[in-house]
Amino acid sequence: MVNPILIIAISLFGAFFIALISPFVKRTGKIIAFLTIGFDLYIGASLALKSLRTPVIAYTAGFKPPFSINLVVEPFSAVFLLIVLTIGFLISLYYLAHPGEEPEDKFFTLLILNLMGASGIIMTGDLFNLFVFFEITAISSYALVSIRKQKASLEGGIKYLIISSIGSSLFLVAIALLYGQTGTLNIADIAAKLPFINKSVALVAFLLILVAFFVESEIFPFNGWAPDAYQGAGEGISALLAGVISKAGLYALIRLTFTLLDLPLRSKLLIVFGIMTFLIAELSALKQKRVKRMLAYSSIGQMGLVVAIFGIGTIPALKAAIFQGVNHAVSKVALFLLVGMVIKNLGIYKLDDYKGLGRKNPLLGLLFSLAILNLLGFPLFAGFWSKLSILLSTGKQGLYLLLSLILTGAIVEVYYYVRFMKILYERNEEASHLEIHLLEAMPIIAMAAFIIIIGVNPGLITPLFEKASEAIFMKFSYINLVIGG
Amino acid sequence: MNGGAMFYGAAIALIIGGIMIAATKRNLIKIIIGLNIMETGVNLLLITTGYISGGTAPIMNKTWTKVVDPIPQALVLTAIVIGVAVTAMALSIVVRIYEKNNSLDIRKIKEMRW
Repeated sequence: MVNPILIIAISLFGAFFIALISPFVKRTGKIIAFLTIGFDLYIGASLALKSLRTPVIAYTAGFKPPFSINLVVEPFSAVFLLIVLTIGFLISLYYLAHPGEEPEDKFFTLLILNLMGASGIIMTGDLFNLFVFFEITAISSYALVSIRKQKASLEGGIKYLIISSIGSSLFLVAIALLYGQTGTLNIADIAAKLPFINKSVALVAFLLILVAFFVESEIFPFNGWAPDAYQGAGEGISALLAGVISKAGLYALIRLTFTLLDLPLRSKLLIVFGIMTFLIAELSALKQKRVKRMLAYSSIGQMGLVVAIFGIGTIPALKAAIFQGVNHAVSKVALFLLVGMVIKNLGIYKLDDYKGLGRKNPLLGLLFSLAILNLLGFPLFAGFWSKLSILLSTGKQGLYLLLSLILTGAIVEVYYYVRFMKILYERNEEASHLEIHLLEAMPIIAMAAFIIIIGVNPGLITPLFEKASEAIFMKFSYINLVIGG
Repeated sequence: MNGGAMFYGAAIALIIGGIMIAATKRNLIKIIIGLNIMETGVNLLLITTGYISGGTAPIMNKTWTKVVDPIPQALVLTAIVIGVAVTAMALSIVVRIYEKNNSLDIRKIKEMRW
């Protein structure tokens, strides 16, 4: 039987094995990271497949929940586990041919720990355990963001640290309040005892959790750190922020507001804050002169959109939100990795410097356009199906104001991305030629293949999202699963 | 005023005070001190949830009558360790910022927009 604990154990082993051997054998970090994360992905994928039939639960210390810490993989967490580990694996594949940040061995130790924390957040069934994994992810990401000793990365790192540690302290307050009321830390157990919790305590805990995970999933007004962190971090780490760290935060936000504290207030708050984030971030992206900062704002906007759609809370909406989350992860990671390749070769950061690059380097231009068109929801790409299902599920609930706001934001998004594509394909004789290492481009080509295959036949992946949205929609099935048996 | 309310009040005062310091001060070291005060408040709050006036350690021998809940204490131990790690990380980034900018004032660090 595959045990979810293996993911955590192997990651810890791999991470500290790098630290152990790095004084003797230099520059093995990237290979060990690749192998470790590859193994994690293998375990994660087999767990995910298994969980579609029967959810997997692992106990520690030989006790059944609620008396022990447990790891749960059911369809909703399986989807997020797959996103996080696949993106992590592709990033480690990218780094095989791309220089890591210096000091390299420590960088890869942090990368593995970060992924371990993110998969821990997704798998754990215990509230305090969630806090610990959350801190592991957060602390390693502060270090990953600020590891480049440049002004911008240090700034991004310290901002992220200050805002995020306030958020995590608030989460700890929420844990204290809930523990004081229920005497348990098990998510399913607290959820089952929700009717007996004092209403105002539940409300305060709910709001604290909302703030804590709004910080991590980049929701306005708690996202002041995000543009600077994205801009300052190395490109692979920006990709990690977009595809792994923010997705783990999103998972925790959804799990805790849907399963743990299922308050009626949730829907309104998620929709209002989500759509506000979407509009403000898209408008800010419009006036950016730097490519990475533009992508960062677009990333924040997409997270806002996904949170707003989750807020609607019907099964089709949940399905659309998960689908859009996957598409965003794939597209944005591809874009950041492409920008990383451009910066490595040419050292250019401004939008105008990209003039003619796509025309001169057909492969680069093609991959850029695929990722952008997917993000915009162009027909015959995977993004089209997720945008379509967003619009359908919003319209079906009669939320026409929300629908029109989403369309407004989407038009702004189309405008600045199309402008970027126009710059890429502008006639420019002085555009430089890029050395593209095939291994470096592999993860992006894999993502492009995913975009096209899912675009042609979305039926390949939608049953998975269907199961995931049913799993998160019915909180009692989760409670029964963990403490019922 | 009974003991419980006093501890809860003190914990909430420390949390709010810490956040206020982190939000209003301009010196990075003071901001980090604010974060630490906030963490102390959270730890006090956690301990208070399991505290019983006059309770003893939960060791099961013949003499115990009232014991405090051990779980919050275990949680606080973990939270303290995490707090130390965050503080160390923050200070090491601040050292680098000082080397680059020769200032700890967030207004003087040019690109910082709060």
